[in-house]
Amino acid sequence: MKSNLKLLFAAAAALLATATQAAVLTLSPAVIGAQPGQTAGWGFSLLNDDADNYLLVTGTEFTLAAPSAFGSYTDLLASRPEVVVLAPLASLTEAYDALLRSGIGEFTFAASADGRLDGQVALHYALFSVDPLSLSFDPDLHLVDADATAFARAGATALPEPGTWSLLGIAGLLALRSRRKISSLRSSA
Amino acid sequence: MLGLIKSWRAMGALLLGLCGGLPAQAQVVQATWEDGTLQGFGPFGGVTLTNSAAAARTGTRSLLTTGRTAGYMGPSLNLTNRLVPGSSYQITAWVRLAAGTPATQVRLSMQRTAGGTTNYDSVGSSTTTGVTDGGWTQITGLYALADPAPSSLVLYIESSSATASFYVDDASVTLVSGVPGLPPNTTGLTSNFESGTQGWFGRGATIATTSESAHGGSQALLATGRAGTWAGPAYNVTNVMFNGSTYRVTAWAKLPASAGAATSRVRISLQRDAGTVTSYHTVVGDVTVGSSAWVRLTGTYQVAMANTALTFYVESGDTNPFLIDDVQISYVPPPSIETNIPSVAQSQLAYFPVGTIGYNGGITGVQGDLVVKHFNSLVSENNMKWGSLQAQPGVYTYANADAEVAFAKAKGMKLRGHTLAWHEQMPAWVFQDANGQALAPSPASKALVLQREVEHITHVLNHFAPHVASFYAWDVVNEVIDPAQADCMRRSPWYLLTGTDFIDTAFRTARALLPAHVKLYYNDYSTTDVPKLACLHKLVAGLKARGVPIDGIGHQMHISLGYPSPAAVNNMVRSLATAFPGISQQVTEMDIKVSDNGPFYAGYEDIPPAVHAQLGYAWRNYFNTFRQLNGLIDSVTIWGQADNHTWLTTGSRAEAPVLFDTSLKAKPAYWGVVDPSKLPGAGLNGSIATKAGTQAARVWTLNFSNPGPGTAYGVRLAGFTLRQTGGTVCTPMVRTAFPVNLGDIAAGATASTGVTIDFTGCPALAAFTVDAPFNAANGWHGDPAKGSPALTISRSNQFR
Repeated sequence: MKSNLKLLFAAAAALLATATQAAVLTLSPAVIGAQPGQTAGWGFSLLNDDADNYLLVTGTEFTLAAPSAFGSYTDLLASRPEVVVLAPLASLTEAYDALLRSGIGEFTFAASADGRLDGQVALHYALFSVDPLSLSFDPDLHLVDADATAFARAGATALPEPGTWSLLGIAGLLALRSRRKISSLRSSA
Repeated sequence: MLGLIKSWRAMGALLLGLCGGLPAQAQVVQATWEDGTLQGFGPFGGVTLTNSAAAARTGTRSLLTTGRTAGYMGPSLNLTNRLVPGSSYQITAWVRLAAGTPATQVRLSMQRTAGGTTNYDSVGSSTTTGVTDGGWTQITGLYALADPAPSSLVLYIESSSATASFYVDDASVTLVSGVPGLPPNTTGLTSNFESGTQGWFGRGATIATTSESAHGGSQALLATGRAGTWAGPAYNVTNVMFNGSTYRVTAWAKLPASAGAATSRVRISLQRDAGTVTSYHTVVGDVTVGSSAWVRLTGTYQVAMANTALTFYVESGDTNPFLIDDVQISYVPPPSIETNIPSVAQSQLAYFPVGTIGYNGGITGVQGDLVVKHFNSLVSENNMKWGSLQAQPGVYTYANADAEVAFAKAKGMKLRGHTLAWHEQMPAWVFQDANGQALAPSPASKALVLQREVEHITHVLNHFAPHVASFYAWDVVNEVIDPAQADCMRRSPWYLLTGTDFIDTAFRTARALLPAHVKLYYNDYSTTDVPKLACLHKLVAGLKARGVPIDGIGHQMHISLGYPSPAAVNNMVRSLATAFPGISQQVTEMDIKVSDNGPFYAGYEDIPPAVHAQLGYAWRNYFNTFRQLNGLIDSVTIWGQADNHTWLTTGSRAEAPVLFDTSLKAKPAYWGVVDPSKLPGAGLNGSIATKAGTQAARVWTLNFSNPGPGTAYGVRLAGFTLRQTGGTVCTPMVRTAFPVNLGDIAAGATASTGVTIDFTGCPALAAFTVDAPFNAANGWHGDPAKGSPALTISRSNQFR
């Protein structure tokens, strides 16, 4: 009976641990856009909803096996020199800034990119029971989860180049003009 | 009394029909001439027909033909509107020559007029002198009336002798089989002989189950006492295999141990009985079988023969005993296209047109539907080549090419022309003199060949001139490079007789006749090979230096899994674009063989799903490369509509080189082009699960999860590197050897492996970035060396 109770507690603890090991990632904006050959990035908000453990960011990636002709993703959050740690129940919000290299990541559109690519940004993290930045931190003793992932839906839209808009505008004007001409011809016939 | 006998015979035939033999309406014609009339028969040519009592095979009367002055003349019967196109009939007549007439051959023939054309079909014949005045000879044959319905159909009886008079009696036309349609059942046959002979019987042989050896289970079927090579185990498949349907046939064969080292050539055959006509047909050709191992006989067989009975049997080239086991006959549904999947061409609309080949039979029915749905460019596989258009001097044949052009225009597809000057599929006369002798190199020969070239190109391009708006490219010259030659030129008859003038002449002639929007191409294979590419540079540079109007280079891209790499394709295209600014480049004949060096597959169904997955990712990676070239490739043509028609598949080797399978269904190759997220194992990902063990032997367990869709085949961890980013400097040593093979991971499943690292000398707070590349599908999924986006577990801020 005693050992059964022990098992029950162990199972409950495992469930609790699983339930608490979740981060919430939100992208801002979820869909970015830029002209072919240009770069755009995602800002983000990350909540560590684990009441006991510290979240250490270990990487981000654009997870869809995208047609590589569309462009390439660069991890900004995990590649910076200082580590990103969120205390239990803490959150972090950051806008994308190409110059400051802030935000979760950026996408460089290929010169041939056309249309929109939908996928998701994955944020990988580890959980520790002690702040990794504290002096008492021991990664062997305090590791709770070596590799967890939070996802957020993301999109990247290749915007038409200004030249294209101009051409479309000119085409529209020409069409309008030609219709007017036809209509004036009809009325004069 | 004899008339009564005839009536009883007719009644018997009727009863037979009612009892499950031929249907009651099977008898279309039954002429006995017992009523004294001609019974509908009339003269074919200027002959005299008489209802005669001078001779009769049965009853008292027959039909006598006299006054013949030509072989084709004889009695005839108008069958217009009495036979159904697509149906098969047995036609029979008994003949006997008039007394004193020398023996001759008598034939049953059909004069058929349809679509304004009259054909003369052979129905049946006696032997050369098989008909005499001494007795009656039966002449019979099967006649399948072809579509379309004829406007006139006349059965007539002729002879080799122009003058022989002959009697005819008991003539009949009997329906053997109606229009082939859906089979009454598609159950097929499975025989494993675990519960007896399972309906098999000995055809001139003794059969029995045996436990001496079995391919599956514990028993097989042994055939002994074989009366001939044709004798062996047999099965009545009249209600298993049906006319007009296709079947996949598989059987396993082996010789008994008593055969020792001997071998036999075993085959699978069908005996077809239609009315009273019997014929024999090979289903699976000879396969060498010994006593040491079971050998598979397999093939796909289309039953295209009317029958009243079909017998499936196994025979061999000798009379020795043999074993069979695990016989399977499976119905293969007729091909149909999937209407609810995206169009290949539409999916690439932002990049380039995607074309395929046209061929006889490839632009009609469901095959044509497939082309229309998925492609927006068409090139003739063979019908625009010299040998097809002008096999004989001055005799041009455009019907097949015209049909392809008309199809493309009607469906709004663009056209590539292919090809004007090539060294293959060339009629010999082009390089011969008027006496059929090979031309020797001389100024006169050169002038003659160039004249023929100009005449051919001019005729062809003038012929297609009314449709030129639909053409956008023309392969003018094909495959003239031989990198083994110092001057890079293939020693073809063209070159030996004209030097390189035939190339210049072809381009100049074509340019003079085609408008500028039809770009002119030099087309070749293996253009990624370094020596070939160097020659290609040299050839194009020479053409441009001479002012020859070349617009583009066609890369055939007949490639195989593994060669060349997508990177090599990328480099090749860029090198030509750099050397010749503004030159157009197109992929003109792309297909992907399973391999140049094996493994090879005898049958299409033998190609495993893992290989199809590799092909799928390969197509993805090559198309990624084409798109990344950002306009340098302006058209891609796939050299096959589906795997059911490809020049790469031979009798002994199956290939799956294009986007759709032999049933016209989308393969992984299709998804690789259209939507790679649907490829098997596309979602494969990796993570670090645990870290455990001592500092000197720390084990990081890596998990590989496959959320699908489909199985991730041949997953392997390719490497593992640590780069220190924090803490006291140290040098961890990875002890695991790579690659680590994890095998196939089913959709929804996970596989794990441990990586052992010696962190001796590394403090606890030493931080690392880890990169663990992994891949699947033999690297086509995940390995950048094969043009794939990388699959890597990449994590920073990692402690030991």
